[in-house]
Amino acid sequence: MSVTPIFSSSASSQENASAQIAQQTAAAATISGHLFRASITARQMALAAKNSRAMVMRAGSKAAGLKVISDYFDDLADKTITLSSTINQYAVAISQNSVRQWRTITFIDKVRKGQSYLKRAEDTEKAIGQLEPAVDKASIYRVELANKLHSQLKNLKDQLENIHHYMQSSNVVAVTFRLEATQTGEFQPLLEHMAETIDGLTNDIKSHISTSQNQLNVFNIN
Amino acid sequence: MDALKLYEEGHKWFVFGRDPEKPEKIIDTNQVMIVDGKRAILLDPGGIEVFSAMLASILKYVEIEEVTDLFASHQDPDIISSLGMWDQVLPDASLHCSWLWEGFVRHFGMNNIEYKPIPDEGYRIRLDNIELEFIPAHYLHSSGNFHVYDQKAKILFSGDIGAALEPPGVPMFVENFEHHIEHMRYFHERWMPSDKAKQQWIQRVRRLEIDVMVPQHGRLFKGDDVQRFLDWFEGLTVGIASN
Repeated sequence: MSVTPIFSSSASSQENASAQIAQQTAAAATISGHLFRASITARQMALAAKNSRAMVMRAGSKAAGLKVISDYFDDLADKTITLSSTINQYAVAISQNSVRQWRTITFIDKVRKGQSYLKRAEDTEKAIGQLEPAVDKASIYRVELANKLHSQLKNLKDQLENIHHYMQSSNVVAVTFRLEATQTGEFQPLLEHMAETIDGLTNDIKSHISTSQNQLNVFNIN
Repeated sequence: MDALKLYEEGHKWFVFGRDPEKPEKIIDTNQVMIVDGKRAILLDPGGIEVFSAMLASILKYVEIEEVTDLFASHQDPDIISSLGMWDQVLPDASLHCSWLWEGFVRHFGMNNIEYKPIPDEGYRIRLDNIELEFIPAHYLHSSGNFHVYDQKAKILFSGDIGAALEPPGVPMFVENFEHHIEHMRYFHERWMPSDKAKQQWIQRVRRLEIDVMVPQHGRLFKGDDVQRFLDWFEGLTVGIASN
């Protein structure tokens, strides 16, 4: 297996690699934090959807068209909770992967630095001969981690897009809900308020997802 | 990093320290390597900041696979935070440290090295020909703490006991004990918490034949300075922050 060039290049490029990994670790942790908050909001959204369904039941035949919509909201909220929890696991795994890469790069960097302290040619040769297997092993491990990270990131990116699409649908459905609510007589103000609540919660989740998607830029996913 | 060959009669003791590459604000440390035939042990191999220098230093004297054992007197970062690095160059080695610290020390990263928990009463290990004794020094300053005694070489590695805080670049050995006291006083008064533990340790160590005492910080004591140190430490009030 070939290794990435950062291990055989200059100290400054190793420092850059180390700095990049540090940035990635922070980005993964940030994504994880936002997804956690998105899942909390999704729970609130599920509760709001259940309330709206109860209200629709009370409104009876006047709000018959809203039943399907409130069921849809409920379903969307449940899916969002499940999805945000699943993808949060990706984010945590990415964070752990980044820390492992960080430690591996630090190890390689420290060994290289140790070799540079050796002044006599025979000491350097001996050190290289003895330490290269450990450095090679670490380099291979680093490549494995990088490959795994790449696939984890692609999954995370896809799942974030899924939630984003859910939330776009949710915005559209909230508009329909508000329009349908105009037909419900005395229930109209309450149902409109619910539509606004669901719309607000949807936008809140969208904001967390959007921040998470922006954080993914740190990783340069192809 | 300076290297001092402290002893060489069959087996060898090396002391490494006074690292000029070390970042200014981290405390200077003495790392020790004992080489006996084809086996070597590192005593308090140091923090992650001195790993590179230590690695370079030991490779001048041994092959990497000859380092079969590590010893950590206790769990502090200046003692063993380099563990995650050693773990990758010494995958078959063992780490000897108090049973108390296993779950804590593993935070430094330990996937390959085997943890050998030292029971409170200590134990002996054999390298190729010599035996080393891990002597209890609990509460001096850590609650699970050991020192290393080599009966053949008559050398005691005393961890934080005998440590001194001095500017960089000082000689390896104490040259004037009376002058040296001021560099040790606060460290022992403040870091050592228990007078009872101190007296027990002194009693234990007075039974040993010691030509050289090697603390983990500062200068080494040899000859009569070892007894001078024990006398001085015996009369010192420790745990001053609780007064």
